[in-house]
Amino acid sequence: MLNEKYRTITEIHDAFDAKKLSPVELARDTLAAIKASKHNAFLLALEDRAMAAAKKADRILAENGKVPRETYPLLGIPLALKDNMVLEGVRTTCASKMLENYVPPYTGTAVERLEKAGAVFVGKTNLDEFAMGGSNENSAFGPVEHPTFPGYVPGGSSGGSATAVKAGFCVAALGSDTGGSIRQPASYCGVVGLKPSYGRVSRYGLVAFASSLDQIGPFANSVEDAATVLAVMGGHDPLDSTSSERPADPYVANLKKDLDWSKIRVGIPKEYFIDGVDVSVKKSVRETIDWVAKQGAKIVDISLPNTPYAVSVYYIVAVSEASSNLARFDGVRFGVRPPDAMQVEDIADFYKKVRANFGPEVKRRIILGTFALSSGYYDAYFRKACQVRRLIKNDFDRVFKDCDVILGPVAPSTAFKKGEKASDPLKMYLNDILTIPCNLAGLPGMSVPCGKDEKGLPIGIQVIAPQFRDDVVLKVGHAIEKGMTK
Amino acid sequence: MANIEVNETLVRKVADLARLALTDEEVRLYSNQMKVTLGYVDQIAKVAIPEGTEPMYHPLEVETPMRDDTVIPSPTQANGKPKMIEPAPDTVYEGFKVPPIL
Amino acid sequence: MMNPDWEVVLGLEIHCQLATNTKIFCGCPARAPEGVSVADLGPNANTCPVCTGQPGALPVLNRKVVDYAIRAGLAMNCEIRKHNVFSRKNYFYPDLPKGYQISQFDLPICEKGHVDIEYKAGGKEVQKRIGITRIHMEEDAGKNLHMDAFSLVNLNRACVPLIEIVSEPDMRSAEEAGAYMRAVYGIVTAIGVCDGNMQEGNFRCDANVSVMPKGSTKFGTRAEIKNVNSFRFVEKAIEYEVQRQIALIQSGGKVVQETRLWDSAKGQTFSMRSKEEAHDYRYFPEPDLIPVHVDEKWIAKVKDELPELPSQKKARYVSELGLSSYDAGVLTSSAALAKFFEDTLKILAPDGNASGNTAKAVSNHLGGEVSRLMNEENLELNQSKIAPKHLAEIVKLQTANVISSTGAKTIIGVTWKTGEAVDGIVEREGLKQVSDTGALEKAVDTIIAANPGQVAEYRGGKDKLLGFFVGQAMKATGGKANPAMLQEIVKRKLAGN
Repeated sequence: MLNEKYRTITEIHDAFDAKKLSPVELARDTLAAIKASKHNAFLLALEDRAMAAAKKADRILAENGKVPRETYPLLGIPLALKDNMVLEGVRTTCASKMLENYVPPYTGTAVERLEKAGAVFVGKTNLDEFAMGGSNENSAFGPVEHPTFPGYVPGGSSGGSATAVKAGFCVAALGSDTGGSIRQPASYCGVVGLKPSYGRVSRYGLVAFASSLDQIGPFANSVEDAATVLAVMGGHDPLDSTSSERPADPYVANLKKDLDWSKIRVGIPKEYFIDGVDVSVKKSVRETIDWVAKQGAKIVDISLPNTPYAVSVYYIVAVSEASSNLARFDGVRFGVRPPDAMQVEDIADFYKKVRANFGPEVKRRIILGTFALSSGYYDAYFRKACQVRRLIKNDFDRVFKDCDVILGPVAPSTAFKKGEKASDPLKMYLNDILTIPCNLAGLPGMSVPCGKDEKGLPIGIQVIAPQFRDDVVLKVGHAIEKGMTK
Repeated sequence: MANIEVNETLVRKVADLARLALTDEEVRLYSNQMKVTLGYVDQIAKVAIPEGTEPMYHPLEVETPMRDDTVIPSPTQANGKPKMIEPAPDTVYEGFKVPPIL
Repeated sequence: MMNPDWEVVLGLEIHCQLATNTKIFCGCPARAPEGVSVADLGPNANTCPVCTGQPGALPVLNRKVVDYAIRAGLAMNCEIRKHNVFSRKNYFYPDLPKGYQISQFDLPICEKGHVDIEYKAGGKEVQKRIGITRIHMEEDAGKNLHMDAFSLVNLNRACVPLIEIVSEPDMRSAEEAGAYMRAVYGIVTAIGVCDGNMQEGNFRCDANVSVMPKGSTKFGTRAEIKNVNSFRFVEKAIEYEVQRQIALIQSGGKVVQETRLWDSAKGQTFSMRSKEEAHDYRYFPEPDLIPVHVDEKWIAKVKDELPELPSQKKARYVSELGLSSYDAGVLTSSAALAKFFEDTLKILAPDGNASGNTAKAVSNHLGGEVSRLMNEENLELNQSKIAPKHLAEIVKLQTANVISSTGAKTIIGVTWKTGEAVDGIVEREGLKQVSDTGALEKAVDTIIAANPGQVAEYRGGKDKLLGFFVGQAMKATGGKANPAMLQEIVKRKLAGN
């Protein structure tokens, strides 16, 4: 467990500078805590790799006297990554039986950039199988325990990363967000969770769920740390055609100056405060908005009328892309092959034996997606969904003429008990209604802790800005964070 | 929307296309769940689409970046064998082994 | 071959491997050095995370592929779509690493073009315009190697760039289909987008074949013959398939829409029966690639750099060298053949002013014996040992009456295999013809003296006997007489001079 005094990158770097702490000590303590933990947040601890990186960080620190923050903004910082991102030579399972033994032959871009910046990767975190789920109950290797409320889910699909950060097993962690998989667990666990704009972070090395929606983003204990991680891993990658060539903004430097709230128009979408949203969530988010108004921001009531269709559109688009993305898991080049797989008359049966390794939620989505793309249904489902997707995006384009940022809840509820929604897929899907629109439109969205419900379960407020205005999301989120902790 | 009747035959057909073997129980479960999900999703059928609304297939609507036609040598293992066969469940002569086809 | 009661409808889908350095979506080599096929390197030696479909790996488009596709489109008179889109074609097969092929579907890069063809039917030269529906870019699959107890997958060829050229169903005979395939081959090799190595599968085609009663306007059900990689086989396969379909219908059967394969050993097509249900490829726009934009500037640049097209070359051969349109067409049907022709002429007339007769002589050999050998052995010109210097020497010797046309064919045959020097072959094979007037006159005198009866008949008006005397005299010289001279001498002697 990380020392309570050293929860952020700045605190740790200051401690390194003052020789109160060393990267090797920090890594050793962190790894020991991970091994002792009962949260099931990690699928793998990266002992050798982390210790090697920490030793290198010690050397760099010794050579420079102080942390060279310009060249190594993450020197000696323990990070975790969701187990759907590849690191050469390190098992990557996607929490699936299918990839139980998969050791990838290459490293993803985001992780590579973070390691170059001095980060020490301490472990790979648990998730819903192939990132499909909202509670982390769909992991083939068991569910993740909520960091502070035993018996509750940490949210999903990046539940392991959210728990790891909250429980102090790392300073920041990477998650992936296809329909809310970073923001929702961040809200449930009470940490900062940022889904960058689509195209801001390279997806090269992220095992795809839905290619037009997936985005890698950080969990952290502070908005500033999230900004630091984004600044390091963001920007164009020649290996990902869908990573934007637009240069990244100076996310961290931007935060040094206080936000002038009087220049900010804050949109409040009425569709984000509908009946299905818990009273406690509404109350906490409203209070935060009131505080923002008091700071001088202009509050604008806005409407995103196509929000009610977001879940439908999402479930067609996401599962369609997933059905195709997951076709490569055929047991030919990688993956687990049942012992009798070679004894088949027809190659189709070989595939079926191999693909029996998928868990129930994954199978359910592949079936739905295969259906939505199949001949005779494509126009009514996939194409129509993409048309409605355009309407949802148009809604945002329109309201962003009247406001600079949107505030609203992240999830309709706080963390729920394990098993509560597991048997009802639709109920689970509807839980994503407030996070999905960002993914459909490619917008940046962040969950910032803003309060607690009557049981003490954390609540997050969602900050949304136009595409590639991740700087605005961070700036506004940072100001809210400061206001809330005062 | 498409006047589609979700039944077990449809689920079996689609599962076959996706190379998924389902037990009878799974077929029943998935067809029931698919009925519910499609029943909900069908709300988009009623959404009026303004004339000329192009489907949005992707959040980035710029030009695809391209690369130059420059060779990057294929990665190899320390023993000179192709790197990409490392994760394979079964190989023979550096080929991926599969059941006999044809 | 053609049945007067039936009309044949043919459309071709030609797959043409682009001659880029790297694969379409990754930096792995698309071509191995010295003309070795990448498919034949050590299994999977030519692969990376992208072309083996490792989880998390992503495609990035090779600009050269788009360049070449535009070039091919312009050469085939297509419209270039400025906003074209890659789609996924989903199906499972072990040689398809991602479980889908990245191809183009409803928005291909080139559309609405045409190719003009010319061929001989019943001794007549026929010209026709064949419509091109579309040309699209896509990745190739790997190769499965079939053993007894298992198969092996080699992904060296996976992700190698292809263009697929889809014709309108405009062809009405196997000859037309063959001529079209040759014309397209001539274009893609001339503009340098394809190496044209057919044995390696650089250029292969699927033929859609259907028949309908003469006069009908409704096309019959078509069968698709897959993966034919020679001009000769495509014609044979179509001829077989047409007869099969006609016979089937005449005996009360129905043609089923199916995929068939050509068995060149048996000379038959056979059904690729598969237990699989009908394919449902579930095409949708590839979300890992954003649409490709091609602007006017890019198109103009490619247009500027476009090399001389076979049709332009052909017109030049006709106007400048006086070749017949047909002969010029044959020479320009492959870039290699045209280059061989021009290189030979350059040797014969270094000043660039080859006479019409010289050009015709070179053309006759290339269109005749050389083409025959290419067809017979199913080889490309560059796979044989014959070089322009050989042919130039042969034409020189023939023009100087040193060798006969039969001798020329013999020499072509030998150089084709061995590449040895022409004079050595002439010496060894004794191909020098007798052009010594004295020796020939002596031989003719002997024949005339030995056949007084025939001499009388000839002189009595039986002109046909001339051939008899020439033949006898030729025999007497061991076949080495210069035929033109010999005939002239026989005529003169019989006339009593």
